[in-house]
Amino acid sequence: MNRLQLIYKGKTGTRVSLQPLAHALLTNKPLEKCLLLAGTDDAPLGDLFTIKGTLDKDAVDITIDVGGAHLWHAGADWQRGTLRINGEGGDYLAGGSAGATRGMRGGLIHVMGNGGNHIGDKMNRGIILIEGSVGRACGKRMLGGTIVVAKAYDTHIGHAMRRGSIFLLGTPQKNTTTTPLPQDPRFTDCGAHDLPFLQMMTRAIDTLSPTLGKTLHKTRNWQRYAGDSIVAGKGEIWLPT
Amino acid sequence: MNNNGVHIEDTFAEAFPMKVARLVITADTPAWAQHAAVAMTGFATSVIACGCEAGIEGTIDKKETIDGRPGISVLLFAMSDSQLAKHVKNRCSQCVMTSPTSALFSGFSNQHDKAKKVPLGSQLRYFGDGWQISKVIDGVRYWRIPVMEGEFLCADHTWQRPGIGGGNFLILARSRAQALHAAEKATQAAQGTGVIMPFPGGVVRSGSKVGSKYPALIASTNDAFCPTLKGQVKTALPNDVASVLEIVINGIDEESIRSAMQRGINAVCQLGKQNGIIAISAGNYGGKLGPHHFPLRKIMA
Repeated sequence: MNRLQLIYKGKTGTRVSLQPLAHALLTNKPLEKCLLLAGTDDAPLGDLFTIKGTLDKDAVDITIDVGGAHLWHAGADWQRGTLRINGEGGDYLAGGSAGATRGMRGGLIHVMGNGGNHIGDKMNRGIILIEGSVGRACGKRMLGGTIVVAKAYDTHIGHAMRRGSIFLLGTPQKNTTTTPLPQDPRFTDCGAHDLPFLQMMTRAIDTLSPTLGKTLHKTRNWQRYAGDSIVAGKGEIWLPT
Repeated sequence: MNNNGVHIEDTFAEAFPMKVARLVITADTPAWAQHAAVAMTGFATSVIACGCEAGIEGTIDKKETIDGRPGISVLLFAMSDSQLAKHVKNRCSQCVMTSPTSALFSGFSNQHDKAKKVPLGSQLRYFGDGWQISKVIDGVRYWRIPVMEGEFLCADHTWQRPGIGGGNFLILARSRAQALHAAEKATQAAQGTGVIMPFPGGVVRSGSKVGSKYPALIASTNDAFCPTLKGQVKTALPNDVASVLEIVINGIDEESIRSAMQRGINAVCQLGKQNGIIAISAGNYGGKLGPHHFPLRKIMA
């Protein structure tokens, strides 16, 4: 399998929107010419990132070394293949384009560091693995797919989610006003379970991230919370018991 | 040809094309996987009246199953695509979904050039009455159907491919007990990947011929091999044969059947003439039934 590596070489602290990346992968245009928003200006991807390796459009496998960049909209409209992010995932990870009714539509996004706010907004399919913590509104307006968060989570988790699954392996962020799920009126406690699906999910994630897999393997029973009830949602949040 | 005093007749087994699907059933314990598999493969001995032929192919270690639980592999054969889809759906919904702790996965991929989709969870999900949840993992869609015991986890679909039904050989023995003992040895040895023996215990005592004196019947007793009719009909049995049992083998390809027949016949021949085994023969219809022929002497050469 061919892998493509994007190593950030721009100014430290620059806000880089990766929103056009998923669309660029669908065209025959050279990737280095794909225009990204860096700060307030457009810049070709080739000016911001060193590109190593080759892109296999049939089996997309891209690794981004974030370096000093401040990413946002990484993995927006992601449809297939794997996107690995070495560093902070940034805000609006795996969301959709402006006005889009759906966000991520398939594949895998694996963030080695923390995620930002609004991860998986309107996510429809696929898997997001976050090895660190996430900010506010993770899984907001989610329509499907799976998000796994290894560490802490913040307020408005699963806000207005209709379907989809969020696995929270950590605890709420300190110094926030997060309502613990058992007291959160948006979500209904459906009890603790040990299901074949959870075992299958654990095994699948173990092959993608041994670190997360190790934590998942420790949990036999999972507490299920269904919601978000404000949209009559049938989504679910799983917490280890 | 003679093997340990057992005469191998110069004949061939005649088999016919079928469609086959492989299903993997898992459960919390091997016993519950077995319960589901046994129920699912019940009343599936012959397409003559059952509509399909099914059997347990083998057990799968929990390290090798998708959900990490003990599993059983089942093969289900039918004469057409539509019959296969119908029986897979009916049997999975009534026998596997109902069985405690069970989960159901596809045993075939789409790698075969003639692979076709067979619906599983894509049909069974409606039982969830809107509470079913779909998950795509590694490109495969699974359905989680809420049931009273917890959840029934089921692959969205499995795949079918061309298979072969009706591979067989006949054990001609001096007594009923000796024939039965040899048949038990044969089925144990023939069991393996890619084949099933759909009849009770893998053994048939009522082998059939095509047609009947009664117009309504499409098959009737194979009188040439009935020991009690020796003298009354044109018999195929030597004088000293008092009992005949047939091993019917369905397989995913010719090689699987050939190999299973070889293992089974070898096991019978090891018992030898001293244990009452007189000869090995095979059922065929003069080449009129199917294109797959398995000559006994070539297999045992």
